[in-house]
Amino acid sequence: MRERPVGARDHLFGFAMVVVYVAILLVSSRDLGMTRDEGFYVDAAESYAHWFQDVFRGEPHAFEQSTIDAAWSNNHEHPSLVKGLFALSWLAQQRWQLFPEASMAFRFPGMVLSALTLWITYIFGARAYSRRVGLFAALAYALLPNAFYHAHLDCFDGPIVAMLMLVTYCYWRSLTSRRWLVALGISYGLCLETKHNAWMLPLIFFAHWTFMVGSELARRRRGDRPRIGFFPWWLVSMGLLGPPIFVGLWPWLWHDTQARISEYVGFHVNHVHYNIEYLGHTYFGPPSPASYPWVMTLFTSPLTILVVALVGLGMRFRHLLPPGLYERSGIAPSEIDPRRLDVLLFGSFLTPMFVLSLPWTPIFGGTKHFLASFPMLFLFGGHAFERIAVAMKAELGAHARTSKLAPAATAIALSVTMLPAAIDTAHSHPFGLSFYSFPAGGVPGAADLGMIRQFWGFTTGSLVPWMNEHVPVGGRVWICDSIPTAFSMLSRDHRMRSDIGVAWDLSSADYAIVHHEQHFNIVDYQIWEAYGRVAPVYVLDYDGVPIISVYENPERAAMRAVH
Amino acid sequence: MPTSVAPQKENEPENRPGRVLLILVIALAFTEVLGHFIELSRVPTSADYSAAFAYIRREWRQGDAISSAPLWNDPNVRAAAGDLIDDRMAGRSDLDAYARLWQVSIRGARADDAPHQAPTLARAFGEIRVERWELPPPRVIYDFTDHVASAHALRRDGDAPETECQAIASRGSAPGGLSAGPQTTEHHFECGSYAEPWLWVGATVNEDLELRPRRSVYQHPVEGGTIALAFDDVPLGDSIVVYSGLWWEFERTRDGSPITLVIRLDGDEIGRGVHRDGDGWARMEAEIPDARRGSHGTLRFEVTAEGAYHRSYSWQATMRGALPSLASMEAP
Repeated sequence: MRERPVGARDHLFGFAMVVVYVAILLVSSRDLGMTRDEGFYVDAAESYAHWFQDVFRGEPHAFEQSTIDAAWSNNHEHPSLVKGLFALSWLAQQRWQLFPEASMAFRFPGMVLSALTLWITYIFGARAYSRRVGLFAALAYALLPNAFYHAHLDCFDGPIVAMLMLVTYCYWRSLTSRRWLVALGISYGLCLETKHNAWMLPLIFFAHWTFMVGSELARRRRGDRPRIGFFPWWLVSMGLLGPPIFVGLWPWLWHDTQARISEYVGFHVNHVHYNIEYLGHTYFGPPSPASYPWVMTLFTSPLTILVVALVGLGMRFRHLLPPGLYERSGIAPSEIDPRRLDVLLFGSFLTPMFVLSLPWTPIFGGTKHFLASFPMLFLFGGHAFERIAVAMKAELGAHARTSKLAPAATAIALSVTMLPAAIDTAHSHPFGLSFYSFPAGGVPGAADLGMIRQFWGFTTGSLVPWMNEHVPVGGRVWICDSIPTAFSMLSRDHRMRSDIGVAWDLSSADYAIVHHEQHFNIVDYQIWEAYGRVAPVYVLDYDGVPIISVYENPERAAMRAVH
Repeated sequence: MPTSVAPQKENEPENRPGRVLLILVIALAFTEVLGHFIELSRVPTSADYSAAFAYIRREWRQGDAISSAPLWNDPNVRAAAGDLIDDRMAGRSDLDAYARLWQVSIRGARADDAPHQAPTLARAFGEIRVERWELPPPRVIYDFTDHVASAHALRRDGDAPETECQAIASRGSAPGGLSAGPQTTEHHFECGSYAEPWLWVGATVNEDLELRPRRSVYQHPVEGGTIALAFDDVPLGDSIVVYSGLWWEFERTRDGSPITLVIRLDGDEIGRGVHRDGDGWARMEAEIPDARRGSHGTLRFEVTAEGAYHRSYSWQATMRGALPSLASMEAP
């Protein structure tokens, strides 16, 4: 199997996808409240921004440990690359007012990095298989509701998908091109600096490499000429370039490096299990259900693209056979792939899902911890789409009335295949994490099944119109799962009235809200007793499913009435 | 988009699998889109809720209860019901205090406490279905949770004499949140020092092992001692039905000590129950001795645990009896 030619026009197309996707993300982000974690990263980015300002001003103390620690100790459980970009974007915003909202400035780098996934996926598919394959994979990922949601955020879950795709692509290219070894090492360093998901890559590549070497040996035994070298140069590149870039780009590691790396690794190896509801049960620790990533994939993905992807995976089954069997499986010699790309993609798809299936892995992140599986899966789906597009062309061409449409067969097939996903994605906004697709019976069906309705408290953003109308001047809101930074961002963005503040207890609040997650039920009951009533004054619904209940504090209401 | 490179299969005269796949995808996409809009069409509107509760209000009688089905829709039902639902109803343990049940349901769901027979009334309001059942005559003649403010809370440490817990007439702090636990109410007792804020006794809504609301008497045991709550002049029926459990946060880990609840009538033990983690909101019944039925007495509820750490225990108890003959006894 040979690589397909990919040229400047393909990259232009990939770039255009990024531009369009980022534009959509920017516009739609105005409806999306900040999550808890985004609030933490905003705090961190503002802290890092002070350090960058010191550096730009040439302050002599900027590189002293005390200065670095003062800025970079904030949120040091995650690497600095993406948060550093948030900080630089925020500095640019302060200087040039690039965005209409402060939150956009923080989110913009995450949007761009997330959107890069589309470009890389398209190029990967186009080069490896065909443009249709790349196109299907990129668009299917773009129209995955949960991926679309995470692509908005100043978090790492969207960017790490792009980084994992990039490293995997560079690894694949490096197997036949020494030039790409440098790109591989650099991209791996950046990936390490994005999120700890990068730790999985050497294991995936090693497993793939054993398949590849095994196949090469099998072919050589049959008298074929050498196609692939045995020495794992990729490992040398990743090992030599990755760690220095990782440390070099993270100021917090510049002092006490070894101890701090140990602390960072220890945090994630021993990560706390947050609560998450799944099929009616709230899990708060191991053992996690092995079905979790698979059922979540089924319930949050548009069914049509998922089926196409699985059919594509089935179509490529012979390309996943182990060395020896693969070479004897009857695949045409021209289609035999010495680099075993399908094995690489399958391993990259399977590994995050497999890790999330392990009983000791925390599952609190919904789909975000295995989002990287999807572009890989959709690259398989591209093969099925290829068949669909060809069949569409043949069908259109076979009839006089439709033959004029035959040249547009790919676009028509793509429209049909992507239509449900497009509707789902549009409908999922701005509730993102609360969305469930057709296999779950939609949002109400998922509620029947006891699936988690949200996390991170981001839906507070959808309450803004109600709060602007009902909260009294200078009023206070008890914000449940939101954090003050995320809540106050609604004011900084000029979406919420600036006089609305955070209440630290139920008694001093004019209104208290409950984000409906099963383990927050106790908050409902606390409010019932604190306010002496069980009726919310407002329920924020999504497809009829309660997302947030708002309770009014009768004592504060009475005081307002007196005054 | 750049021109696609023609794949090998494109020029094959027979592409039957491709055609099958094409038909499958068209059918699937159509079904998925249709399913999406059908699902949306089943979502009840605020007008549906308004109409349903306008009707329920017109027909409402004292002794009525409301159930939501499915349970996840309860916030919408409470919002629409307004003052028809209070914490007693929302946090009930059973329907024995009620004469009729209204079920407000969507999506064909059924409440887990709805009777199995056909409803006596069924009406549809848009996507909302309202049904009503006549329940067996109420047998609750005294709800202990309603009388906590007039009871006495007592603490005994080891063999030391019992001391009265301090009656508090203010709700106290209301921090709210996942770590705060059940909320104190306006009338409660403080049985601990400043360093033992969890040692209070009072009516509240606790969260049981299924995370459901249970209006009950919060009575956290004390290490090496007993916390008791005594009710004077209680009308005595046939039996006392008790439900008890712990706050989910501390029962779910299933590693806490068992908690013993002893019920005494004028000093004599008439009931004893042991709650072990994992039991959930469990029911027990204590018989009133035949000779005492129809009279009045002092009931004590004593809570102990060998290891009282994180034992956010609460109980809900009602005196049961033939209501018509005993109803007048509760009034002083």
